[in-house]
Amino acid sequence: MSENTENKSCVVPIGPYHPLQEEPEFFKLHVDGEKVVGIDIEIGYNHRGIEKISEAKHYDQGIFAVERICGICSTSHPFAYCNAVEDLAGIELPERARYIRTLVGELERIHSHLLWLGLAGHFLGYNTVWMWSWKYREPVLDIFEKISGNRQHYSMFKIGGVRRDILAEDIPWIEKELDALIKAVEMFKGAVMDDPVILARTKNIGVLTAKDIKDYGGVGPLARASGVDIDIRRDNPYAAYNLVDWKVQTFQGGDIFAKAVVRILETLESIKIIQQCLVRLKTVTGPIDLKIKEIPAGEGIGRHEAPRGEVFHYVRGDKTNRPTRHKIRAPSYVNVATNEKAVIGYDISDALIVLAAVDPCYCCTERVSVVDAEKGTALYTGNDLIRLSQEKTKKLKERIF
Amino acid sequence: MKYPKLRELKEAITALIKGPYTTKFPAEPHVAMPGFRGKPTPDKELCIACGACAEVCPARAIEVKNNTETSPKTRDIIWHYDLCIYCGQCERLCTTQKGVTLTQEYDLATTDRSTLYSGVQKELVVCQDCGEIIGTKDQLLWIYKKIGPLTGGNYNIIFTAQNELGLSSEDSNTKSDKEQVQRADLYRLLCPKCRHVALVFNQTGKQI
Ligand code: SF4
Ligand code: SF4
Repeated sequence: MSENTENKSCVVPIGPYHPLQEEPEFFKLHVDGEKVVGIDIEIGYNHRGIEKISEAKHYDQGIFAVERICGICSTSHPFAYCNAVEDLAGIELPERARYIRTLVGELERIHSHLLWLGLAGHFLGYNTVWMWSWKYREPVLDIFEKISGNRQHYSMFKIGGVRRDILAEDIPWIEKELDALIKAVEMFKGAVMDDPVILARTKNIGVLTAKDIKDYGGVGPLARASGVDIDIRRDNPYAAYNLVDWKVQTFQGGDIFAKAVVRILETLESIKIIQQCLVRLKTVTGPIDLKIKEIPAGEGIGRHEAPRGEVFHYVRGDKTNRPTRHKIRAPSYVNVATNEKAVIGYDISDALIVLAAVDPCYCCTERVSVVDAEKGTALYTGNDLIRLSQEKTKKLKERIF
Repeated sequence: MKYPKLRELKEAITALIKGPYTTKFPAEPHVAMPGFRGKPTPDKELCIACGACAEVCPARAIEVKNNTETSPKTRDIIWHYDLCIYCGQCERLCTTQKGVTLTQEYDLATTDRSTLYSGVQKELVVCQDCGEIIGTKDQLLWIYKKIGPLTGGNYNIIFTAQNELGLSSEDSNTKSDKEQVQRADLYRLLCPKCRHVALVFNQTGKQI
């Protein structure tokens, strides 16, 4: 702790390497006694230049690059990227591919939410929750290993379809595993809803109102826990989300309890979606992918509701086999900023779980901005960057055509 | 508060009876599921060392090394497992579809990075004029088998195939046949550039 004489508060640093989440980020908590009175959020320790890497890869290879933005939502970025490229090229997916994509996306949501639940238990010092929820996450990873060939980084997506089919003989086994999972998630639902310890630690802690969410542009379960009813899967349907029956889960309150409940209810909803997809996959036949010969010049945007919120990809192509510009906006980037509202005014002992309640994924947050170190002002405004990118595209065009 | 505790007690007792959920790895080996994307293993026979996989590998983990100083000249295709991301692109887009397979082997941990590779070596066919690489012998033979009579006028392929079948030899190509045919300069192993020179310029007597 270091003394800050100006406003008589201490600074408690968390990071730059998070002691529990093992990810690089830096929260400076300004505390006055037990109370948190201010927070500085510093990100940018993990910038890997993925957007630039992707611009150097073929459209087909770019999927593997964006897949590695995050290990937990490793299908969300390919999902949004494929949506963007398909938007650019005007590709209509075959029906079977739609169901497989939806299934993979929802399985990922289940494993991500169970992972968060475990971590939240761990942060509360409730390690039984941690052990149990990660135990029930294992079968989900087993399903992934069976259908995609890997437990993480599934490599299932491809422009115009999916790479692997789901075999008819695997479907009964997947259904059996999911039935067992429903019981486990129901158990967690009960445990979170009426366990006195969890209630005491999460009720009315880290409250974000609907206004806060709108001010900060929060997305995903975070927004839905504050009663903001947004979900890209419903608002702008893609893949098979408009072909199956499901509901967006919202909850009032905006505290950590609400966030946990929303995530658990979403997990159950995801299982429901997968079960419907599996039933359809038994009857829907046809190709799982299209042969894409050429990606035309143009712009495309793609969105996907990742476990943490809306992922946005923008791709611009110039008829070559690589994108000239690829822009990514990941949910944690906006969500982490809401901590400013959520953590101030609460005890420092609650800060850890409040910071974790966002389900932050620091790998997602790393984007670049150029700042004049002496004056502390940004050197490039949004318009400057647009101009630079337009100039570069023009230069590239001159070179290519 | 009695009911929730009972529910969790049930879970605890089940866990107690069933024993630990974790496996005994590494004491008991773990077998990956069929279809697992593990170590890509090249097939010494069926890989024709065309290098197509190196073009599509997103991680640039496949190295194509042409050994033009050795005799005979060879090409190595080397899979570097320390760079590989096990995506399966090389298997999916392999020219012969059988050149490389992703096996169920996943336990590649080692303390010595330099051992993390495997590869195939194939003999190269080079241009008799300029020494430019035409392709590997196996690649030309594979094309010959695939398109059969359509090889038509491609002397490089015909010659390599005949050579393999023992119908002609390096000797016949370079010496004895030379006098008997009018355009002996065309019956040589030539890269596209040198063949262009032979066809367009030698015929008209123009030199480049
Ligand atoms: S045959 Fe297949 S594995 Fe071998 S070099 Fe060609 S593409 Fe690669
Ligand atoms: S599995 Fe993927 S990364 Fe590994 S060598 Fe093959 S193409 Fe490259």
